[in-house]
Amino acid sequence: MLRPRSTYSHPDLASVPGSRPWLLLRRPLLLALVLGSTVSLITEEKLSLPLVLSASFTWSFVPLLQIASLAAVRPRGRGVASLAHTVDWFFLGQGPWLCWLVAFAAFWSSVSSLGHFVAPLWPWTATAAAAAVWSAYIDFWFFRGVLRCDANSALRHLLLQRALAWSLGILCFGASSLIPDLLRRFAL
Amino acid sequence: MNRPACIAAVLLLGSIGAGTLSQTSARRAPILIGGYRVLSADFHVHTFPFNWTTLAPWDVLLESQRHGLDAVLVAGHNFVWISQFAGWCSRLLGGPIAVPGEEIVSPRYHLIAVGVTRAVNWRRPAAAAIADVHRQGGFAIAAHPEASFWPAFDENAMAALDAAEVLHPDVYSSRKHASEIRQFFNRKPMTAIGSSDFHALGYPGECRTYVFVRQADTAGILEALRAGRTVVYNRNGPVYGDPALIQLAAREGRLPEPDPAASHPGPLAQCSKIAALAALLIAVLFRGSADGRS
Repeated sequence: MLRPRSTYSHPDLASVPGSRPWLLLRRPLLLALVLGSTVSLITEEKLSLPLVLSASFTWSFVPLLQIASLAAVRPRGRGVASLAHTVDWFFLGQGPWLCWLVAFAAFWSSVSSLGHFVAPLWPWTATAAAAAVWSAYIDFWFFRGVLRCDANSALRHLLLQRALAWSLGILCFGASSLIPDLLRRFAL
Repeated sequence: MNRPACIAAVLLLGSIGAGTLSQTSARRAPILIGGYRVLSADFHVHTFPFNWTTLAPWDVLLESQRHGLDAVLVAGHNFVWISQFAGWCSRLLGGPIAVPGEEIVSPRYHLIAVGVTRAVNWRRPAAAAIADVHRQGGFAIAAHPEASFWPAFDENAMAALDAAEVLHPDVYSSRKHASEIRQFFNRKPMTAIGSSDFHALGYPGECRTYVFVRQADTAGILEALRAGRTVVYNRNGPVYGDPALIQLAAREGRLPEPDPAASHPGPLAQCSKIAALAALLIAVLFRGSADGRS
């Protein structure tokens, strides 16, 4: 997570243990579990089985969109890693987001019911932006190292993957008021 | 499985066990005051998907029940099917009354349309949107009517408007918003509404409306809202609503109810939280170690 260039410079795909289905699922499942646990913590200040399972299921759209967008943009051909290996390596780049989610859950599960009215949101927006940049930097080196892209191509693939995943994710999350919210924001 | 993963898994299972065991049931005896059944209601709660929120409709219903709500309007932004789906979930789960409706989100105003079954066109002026709500037999509430929304509520809109949120989380977060919302509510006699506008932080019912109904269903709630039979308690002191019902409730001493789930968490819940955070931290920091990556 801290040294993506060296991590991805010589990926030894054969050394990664586990069957292909497990490789395909393990890191996306971890992301879904962290998302579900975060939702449970900020909602109930604890983990309860029904809410963790339900929220992990509800939020599984995030890893699913990541996988779908990665599958759509990854180059195909001989010498390119299988989708399972590609997904497994790609989800290493989620590290900054996972750290952010744990910090978010720790904070919002600890403020009192009165405290959350006044606690500012901007630090979370700022740190989310930092996590997004850090995650993109990791993924740039993923495209270079694992998918053997040159710098321009890696940047292009990264931007396309982000555009696909984020635009669909935002639609899932808040599509219904997006247009009136934008019109209000830009005073149109 | 390597050692950090084992530790994280054990902590996570322990956390889920402790958290699940600490769940309390919020079955409450019905409150009867002055011949009315008093329903604790939140008419402004959002759910996933499409509404900038975290919880699925069934989770919102269960959370609402945990926080002692008898009725909830699961409001989609400019669509009603999610409130109808919540109604189906409520019947399946035996949860609170799921009132149909939506939040009409326009660039110039936000309105809660209670009891509508068809989405109202958000591009129309507030007065026309309220007229459409009434045509459907619904009830229109101005949502968080802060000063930036006031220009939309012209003379025609104000004449037609049924109610306004006088209590909303913004009241606690900003004195300016609190003052603006109060000023709007004082423009004319209106039904007092308290709503949480729940998205992710906080909980459904943290601002709520006590509705004095003759029958505990959607029709009964609509009838009580139209008659103005509501009471809203600001936790900083002021009480809004029907003065006679406020006095009656004060004499009975049963309102506002303590929130069964908003009190201090017990030791099991505390253990669950600490173990969960430790488990997640270990899982995140050591997630690459099984194959030598980090």
